[in-house]
Amino acid sequence: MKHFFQPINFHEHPGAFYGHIVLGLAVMFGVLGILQAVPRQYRKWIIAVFTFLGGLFYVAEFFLPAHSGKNSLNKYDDVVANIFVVVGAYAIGLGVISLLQLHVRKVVRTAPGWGNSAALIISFLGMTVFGLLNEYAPHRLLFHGRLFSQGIRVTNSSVFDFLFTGGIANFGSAIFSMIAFFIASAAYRAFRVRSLESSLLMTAALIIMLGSVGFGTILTNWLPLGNDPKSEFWANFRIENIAQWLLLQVNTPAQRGILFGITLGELAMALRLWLSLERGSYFDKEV
Amino acid sequence: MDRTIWHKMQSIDSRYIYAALIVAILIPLFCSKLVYLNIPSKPSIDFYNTIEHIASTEPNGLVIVDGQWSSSSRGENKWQTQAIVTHLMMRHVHFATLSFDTQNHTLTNEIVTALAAKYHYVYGVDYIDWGYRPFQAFTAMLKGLDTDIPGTVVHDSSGKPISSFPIMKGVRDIKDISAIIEISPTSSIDGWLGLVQGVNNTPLLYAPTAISAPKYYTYLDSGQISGMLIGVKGAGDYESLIHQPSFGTRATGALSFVYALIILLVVIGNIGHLKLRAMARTETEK
Repeated sequence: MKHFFQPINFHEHPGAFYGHIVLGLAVMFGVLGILQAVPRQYRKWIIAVFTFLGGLFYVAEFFLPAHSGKNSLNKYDDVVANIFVVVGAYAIGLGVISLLQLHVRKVVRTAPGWGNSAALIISFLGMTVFGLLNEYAPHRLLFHGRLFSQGIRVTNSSVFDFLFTGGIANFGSAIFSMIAFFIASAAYRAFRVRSLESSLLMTAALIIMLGSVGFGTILTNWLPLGNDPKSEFWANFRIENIAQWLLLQVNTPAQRGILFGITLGELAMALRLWLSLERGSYFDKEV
Repeated sequence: MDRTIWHKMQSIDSRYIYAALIVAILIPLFCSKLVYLNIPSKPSIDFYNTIEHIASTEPNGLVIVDGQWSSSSRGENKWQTQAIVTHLMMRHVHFATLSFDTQNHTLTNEIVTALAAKYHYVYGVDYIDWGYRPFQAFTAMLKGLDTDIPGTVVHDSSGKPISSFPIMKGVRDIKDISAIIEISPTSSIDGWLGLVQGVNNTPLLYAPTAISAPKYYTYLDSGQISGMLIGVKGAGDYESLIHQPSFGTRATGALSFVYALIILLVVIGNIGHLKLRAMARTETEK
C-alpha cells in the first residue's frame, strides 16, 4: 500500500504503469458513481469528513512529539503526499475538460473571439500529443528529406523542443516582459506630489531605484566607501547605503507587521476550510 | 481651457514612453563596449561569501540548488542560475539540482549541461539531478530531506537510485548539506525556511525576482537567509564578483538606463503638476 501511490517508471514497468492507470480510472469513476448514488443531503458530509481527515493527518503529524527527528506518522508522509498528487491530477483533468467544453462551444458557434479559442485548442492538443510522444517515442522519425537545400531530420523530440523551447518559453518571457512597459507608464502617472504620504512614497521609491543601479551610484560616488573608520560616517550618505537602510530599517518592520496579519488570516482560513465552515461561492451550493 | 505645456508634461502619450523604454533597454544590451559602474549590494556579497566559505571549508560538501522559475521570469532567474552554477563549478563545489516547476527542470538542465562541459563537471561525481517533483509534493519532500535524503529523493531524473552515485556517498540527512540555494519568483522559500533551514541552521541562499525581494529582507535581517541575489541586478552583481561578465552585467546596464528614464519622467510629470497647482492657486487668490 505504501508504494502503491508512488510514481512508476514507464520504461521499467510498462505493465504496472498501464495497470495503475486503468485501476486509477476505475477507482475515480467508482468514487464519482458512489457520490452520485448517495442522497444529496449526505454528499457534503462525505466531502467534509475526508477534508477533515486529510487535515487531521498533517496536524497530528506536525504536533506529535518526534524521537530522533521522526514520529510514528512521518513514514506515511510520502503516501499522503502522493495521494494529494493523484487527487490534484484529477482536478487538472476536470479543469481541462471544463476549459475545452467552453472553447469548443465558442468555436462551434463562431462566437466573438472564436479564433483565440481555436488557437487554444490547437496549442493544447499539439503540446499534449508531442509531450506524450516525446516521453514514450522520442526518436521516432516524422520527416527526413531536404528543405531549402538543407538536410532535415524531424523526430518527435525535435518537434516537442521546437514547441517548448521555441514556443512556450519565449511566449512566457515576452508576456512577462511586457509588464515593464506598463510599470514605467504607471510610475510616471502615479508618482505625483499630491500629499505628504504620496510624496514620501515617491521619494522612497526613487531612492530605492537609484540605489539599485549604477546610474544612482554615480551620483554619490564622490563620497567615501567607508572602508576606514574615519570615512564611515560619510559613507552612510551614499545613495546605495540610504536605499539599503530604507529596505532593512523601514521596509522590514512594515513587512513583519504585514506578515503577522497574513499569517493570522491564513490560520483562520485554514481552520474554516479544514472544519468545512467556509461559506460563500461554491460552499453553499448543492453538490 | 487650452492644453498648455504643463498639461502635456503630465500626460505624455504612453506610446512615446514605450518607444523611449525600448531604446533605453536595447542600447546597453547590444552595445557591449559600454562600461557600467556597478557596486555589488551587500546581500549579493553575502551570497558570494557563503559559497566561498563552503568551497574553502567543506570541499566535499553538497549544495542543493532548487529551481522554481519558469520562462516567464527567465529574464531575471536564468542569469542568476547561470552565475550561481558558474561560481559553484569554478570553486568545485558539489551540487544537486531539484525542480518543482514543470518548465524549470528543462531550463535549469540546459544551463547546467552547458556549463558542465565547460568546467569538466562529471555527472554523478560533481553534480546530480534530483529531478522534477510536482508542487503538491513540496511540503512532504522538504520534510523528508530533514531526516532521510536517499529515502525521500530515491531516484535521479533518469530513474537511477541516487545512492548509486559517488556524489551521494555519506549524504544521509540535512546535516550533510552545506547550503540550500532557492531560485524562485514565488514565495516557495517560505517552505525551506519553515521546514528545513531551522533544523540544522543550514545556510539558505535566495535568488528571487526584484519584485518579490522586499518581503524577504525580514529573513535577511534575522539571519535565516544568508544572502540574496535580487533580480537581474543580483545576477549582474554576481557576474562581477566572479569576474565572468555576461548578459546579467549588460542587463544591469539596461536597468540603469530604464530607471534613469523613469525618474526623468516622474520629475517631468511633477514639474507640470506643481506648476499647474501653483497657477490654480494664483487664480483663486485673484
